[in-house]
Amino acid sequence: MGAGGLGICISDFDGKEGLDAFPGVLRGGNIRLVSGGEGPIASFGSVPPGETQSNWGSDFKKAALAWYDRATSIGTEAEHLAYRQNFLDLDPTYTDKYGDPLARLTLDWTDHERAQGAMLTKVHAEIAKAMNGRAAEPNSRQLQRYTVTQYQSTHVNGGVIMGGTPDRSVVNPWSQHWQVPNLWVVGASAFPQNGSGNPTLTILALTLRAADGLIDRYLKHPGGLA
Amino acid sequence: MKRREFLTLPVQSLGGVLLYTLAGEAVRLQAQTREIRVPLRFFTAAEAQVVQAACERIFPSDASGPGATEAGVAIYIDRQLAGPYGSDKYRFTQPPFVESGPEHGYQGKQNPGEIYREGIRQLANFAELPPEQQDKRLRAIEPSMFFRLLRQHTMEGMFSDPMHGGNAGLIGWRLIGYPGPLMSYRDEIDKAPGKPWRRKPVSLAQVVGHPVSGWEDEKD
Repeated sequence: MGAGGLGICISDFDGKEGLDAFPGVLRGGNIRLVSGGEGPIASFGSVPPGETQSNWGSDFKKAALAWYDRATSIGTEAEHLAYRQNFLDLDPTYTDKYGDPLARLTLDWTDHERAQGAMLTKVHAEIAKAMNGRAAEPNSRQLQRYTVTQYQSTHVNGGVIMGGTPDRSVVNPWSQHWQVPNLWVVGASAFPQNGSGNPTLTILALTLRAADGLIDRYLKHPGGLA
Repeated sequence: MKRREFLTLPVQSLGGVLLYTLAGEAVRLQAQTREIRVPLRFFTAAEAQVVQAACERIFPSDASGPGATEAGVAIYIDRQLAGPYGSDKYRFTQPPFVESGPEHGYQGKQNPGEIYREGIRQLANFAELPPEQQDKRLRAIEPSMFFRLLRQHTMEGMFSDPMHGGNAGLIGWRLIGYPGPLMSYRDEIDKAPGKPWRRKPVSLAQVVGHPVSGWEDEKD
């Protein structure tokens, strides 16, 4: 159990911070420990390594009961850089009930995400040790391959990215399409990737800027603003 | 018309709690044999016995507390398999079905109901085996999709809201000290710092003050 958003988050290894000791890592991530109110099904069974050989049966039950509200987890949301090889397109084979193609996700981790994972779990382990905790096995081994079988933070951004020149982006700094001046696109689609935190306030700021540009400039002189 | 099948349970194994969970269902209490007969929606009586015996090995009733039989886990699974989950109503199941890596998750054609039917067939006479033999049989099928579902559903039947047929009398929540679906713990946080906080569990129906039902009860 927990209390909704109650928790602590540090940014000491976020963005470009704290990377000196970790060559090869370009961007880090936030580190957080929250008691967000996990339900009893999801939380049951978190036990330190060596406590039980199996994930079922009498020994497992005994260990899981003993550790049920004595275990917590330290997590990270890191910045996932944009790569040419990661994209969404229309699936060539599968269609929905209307006959339209499904979206197809092509995505895998690179050595950079693996290095990020190694860096951040090292810091996690140090925090757990300082808390007098028995550190469990880090699960950054999940970063060997991207997998759909475990939930990983999915704050998906991009698709209509903003930029300074039309050859590198879809919308200009006013959220206006470079080639179609009466088309304006606002939202997280403007970012090539998500930072570690969520971009809600930046989206609002860009939306206000788009509205200003639309009212103060575009309506008076329709055409490209950049 | 299909003959109704029942799972027969000795009353003492349940401590009477199942009667509370199954309110509204046609539960027949056999006064003389001290048994209750729970009507099944998906399993045959023989299948339900196998599933119940297997769940009992996954989450046994032992020195550390009650287990899957007392919680009614087999009834939880029976209801889920009879509902939209069991027939994959909401999973994308259009062909072609292609073998792929574990990172893509389950890509098979069989729905959960079919996986159970086939898995139970492979566990023939399971309910009659002694516990050590049962554990051996389960260990042999551990990597299978059937066992993964069985293990996951056993935990769900222990710890989900009793509206779904398991966690009878909140027995699972009492076992771990889970208080039930509260909107907020904000007022409780500072009450007993450093001490385990325990509160009598309440089900969703008790919180909202009227009967609730799960998606397994959905009518087409």
